[in-house]
Amino acid sequence: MKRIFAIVPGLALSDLRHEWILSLCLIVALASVIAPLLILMGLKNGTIKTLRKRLVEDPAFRQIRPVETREYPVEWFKNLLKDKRVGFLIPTILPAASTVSAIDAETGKSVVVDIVPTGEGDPLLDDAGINMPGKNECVLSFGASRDLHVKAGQMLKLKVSRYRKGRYEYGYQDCMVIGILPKKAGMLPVIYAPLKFVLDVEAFKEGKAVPSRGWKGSFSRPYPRFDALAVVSKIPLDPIIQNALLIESGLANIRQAGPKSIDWLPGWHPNSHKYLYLLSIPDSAVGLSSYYAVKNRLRGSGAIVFPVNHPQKLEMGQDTITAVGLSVDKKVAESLGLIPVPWGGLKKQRPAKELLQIVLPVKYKDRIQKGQEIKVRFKGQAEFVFPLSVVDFFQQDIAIIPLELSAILRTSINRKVAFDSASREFVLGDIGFRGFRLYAASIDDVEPLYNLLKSQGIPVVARIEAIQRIKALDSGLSRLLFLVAALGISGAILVLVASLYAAVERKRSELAIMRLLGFSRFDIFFFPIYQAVFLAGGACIVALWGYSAFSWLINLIFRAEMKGGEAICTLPSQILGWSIAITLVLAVSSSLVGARRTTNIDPAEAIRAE
Amino acid sequence: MPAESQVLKLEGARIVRKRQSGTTFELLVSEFFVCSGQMTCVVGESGCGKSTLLDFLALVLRPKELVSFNIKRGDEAIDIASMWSNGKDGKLAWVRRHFIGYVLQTGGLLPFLTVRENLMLPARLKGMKGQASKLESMASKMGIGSFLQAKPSTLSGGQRQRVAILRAMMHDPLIILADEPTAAVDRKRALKIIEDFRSLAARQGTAIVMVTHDQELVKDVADRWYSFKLDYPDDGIILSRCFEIGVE
Repeated sequence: MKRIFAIVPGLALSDLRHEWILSLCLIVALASVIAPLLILMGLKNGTIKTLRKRLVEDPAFRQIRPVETREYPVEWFKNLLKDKRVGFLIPTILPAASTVSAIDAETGKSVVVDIVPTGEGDPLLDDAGINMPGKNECVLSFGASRDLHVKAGQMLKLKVSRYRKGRYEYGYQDCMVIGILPKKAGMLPVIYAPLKFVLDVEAFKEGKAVPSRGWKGSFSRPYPRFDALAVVSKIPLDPIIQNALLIESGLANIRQAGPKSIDWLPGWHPNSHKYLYLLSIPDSAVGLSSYYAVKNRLRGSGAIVFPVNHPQKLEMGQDTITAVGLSVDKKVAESLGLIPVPWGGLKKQRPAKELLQIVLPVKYKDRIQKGQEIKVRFKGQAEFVFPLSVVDFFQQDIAIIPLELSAILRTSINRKVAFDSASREFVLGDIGFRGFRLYAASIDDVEPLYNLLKSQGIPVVARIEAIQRIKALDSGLSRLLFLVAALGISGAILVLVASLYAAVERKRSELAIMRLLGFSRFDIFFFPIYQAVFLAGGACIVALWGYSAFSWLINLIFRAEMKGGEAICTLPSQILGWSIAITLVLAVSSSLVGARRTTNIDPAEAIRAE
Repeated sequence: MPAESQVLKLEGARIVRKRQSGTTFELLVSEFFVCSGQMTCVVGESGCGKSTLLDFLALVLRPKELVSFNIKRGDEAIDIASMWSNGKDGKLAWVRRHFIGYVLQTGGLLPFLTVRENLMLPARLKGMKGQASKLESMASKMGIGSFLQAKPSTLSGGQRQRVAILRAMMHDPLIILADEPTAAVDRKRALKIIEDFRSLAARQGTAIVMVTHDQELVKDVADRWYSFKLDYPDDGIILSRCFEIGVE
């Protein structure tokens, strides 16, 4: 049976060859349906692929950026890195801690740049074909390169500065520029360096020593922070001076306020200093450097400058004490009606012993004695306990602490602060990571990752709309193509069904002779099926040839709009393979009507036909 | 005739066929046999049942009744009657391609194959090998050796018939059924074809059943004759009885 079955395809092919004009017409008819469909698929695929490629090539479309600065535990990074949708993830530090000065290679002028951590697989570097910078190496953004007049291969001197103990200190690091990022990676002056270097910069800025770089430092007492600066004056401040105060201090807001704005200050009664101005930075805190800048500017004006913090809550056992930070000398206290405090005016670096003092409300006088040490808790980023020496009692239901202590407590709102009982010093906890650079593995992963982070309560931004537009275009074109394909394929099926059915009818006598010669019904059943396969196969070859020629022509015409390696009309071999397979399956299906018809052919018809 | 030389024997066949005119044609064959190396001619006027008998012998027309129908290959008897009763179409096709050769009025060659391919097809179907040299010599003997690469459409009627006869013999069948094989050629060629046919069959020991309306043509070569007697027992019914001339 197998032998006979193997003879049938040869006979079917011989018959097609015998009627080669009819066969050719049918092949051309089928190819004229298949080829345009391939071209359409190629155009759709090529267009979408090009658009997607451009999206994929530009890492900005894969980037998911945090909107706000917050602390991210190391575990969070570890867990997120396990997600296969993450292409690249590296922690970042506080934006304020990541600015360094770079020295202009030509003029020697200092340019402030942001230092951003990078690591293996950073899409920005990969896209630009730049290797991961090693120790004492860095990559510059286009903007940084332009501002610094530095090219790849040149050395760059970086200067890290900090303000400590009333003066500026600097750490220097030479680094080799190993690459310059293209414009599309961003125009801001940015230096990309290994995370280690960025963390070292941050540590130095915190006051810590970085021995590996020869950067000196000591303890890292939390830097003082205040809610605002208060300026009180007997006369109104000139608007020009007001602006100057902002420009020179790094502050952002100045507003004239009524005396009640800071009436929590014990004894607050400004008398003749009836003009009160509050200077602040929205969503941030004011540092000592701003205080000194404003104070210097107003020197000789008769205005009094002092930082203020809102009252803070201290826990003492089951009690909650409202504490106000106040450090004023007697003269200022008298001028403003403030309660004189035993620790005097504000100091740049108040010793720990002087820092840990409190004036308690008088209600505690029965329980606590003057000179006694109490333990209090404060909840900032983390909760910490520290001792305070009771130096006095105050008539109102309010406690008074040194403003320097209040400033540390204010800092602990945003930074982890701990109290080291051995040294009796406040210390900055590990700064932790305050942001991240995240790139999805592909543009399809952006939205799921975006949603994942949102579900974790992390506000992020991503170019989801651009990706969705491409996806919508892809889906729209797919539907359109499906309709066109359905129409074309229906036509092709009808052509095949009709042609093969007609062929069976035309060849009844030949098929009857074959039956008479000893072919079974089953053998003859496959005769039109084989013919359909050969015709469809021939049509596929012609269609592929046509597709190749036309796609080449289309790509040639649109060559100017395409970048290297892009094509507007292209199909992966996998799709071509599927197209051929589907064509053959449809051809076989179409031939079944004719094949069914052959089973009615009686061998006797051969005799009668004669 | 000794029983052992009979290659085909049937008994008690009743074949019914509806004709396009609406009449029912019924053929009764009480006994029919053919012997190897002999030429059996079936003669009769048009519409007497020659073709019906030939269809039945070619295993393409199912009988209404059948007592026995055997084709003998050596000592083995192939029971055609049981194949019909069991409806084994594939088995009947197997018998056709192994034991039966067929010559049609105008050849019945497949137009899409060359003469050589047409000639080789029955042998290929039977799975015979080494037929190429036999084909060359027999084709030369029959005068068609130079047309082996040609398509049937380029041959004359006589050439086509000779190809058809040769094709019917290429797979060494036991029986060759020939339906008016000389109807499409002139008398001179017809005589030559019949003569060739007869001598080839005799040489190979093949039994030939030839249907013809031209008794004159075969009177000198036929070993046995069958004919038909028509009866009209009722309106719309034609009854035909097949009998052997000279025996009845």
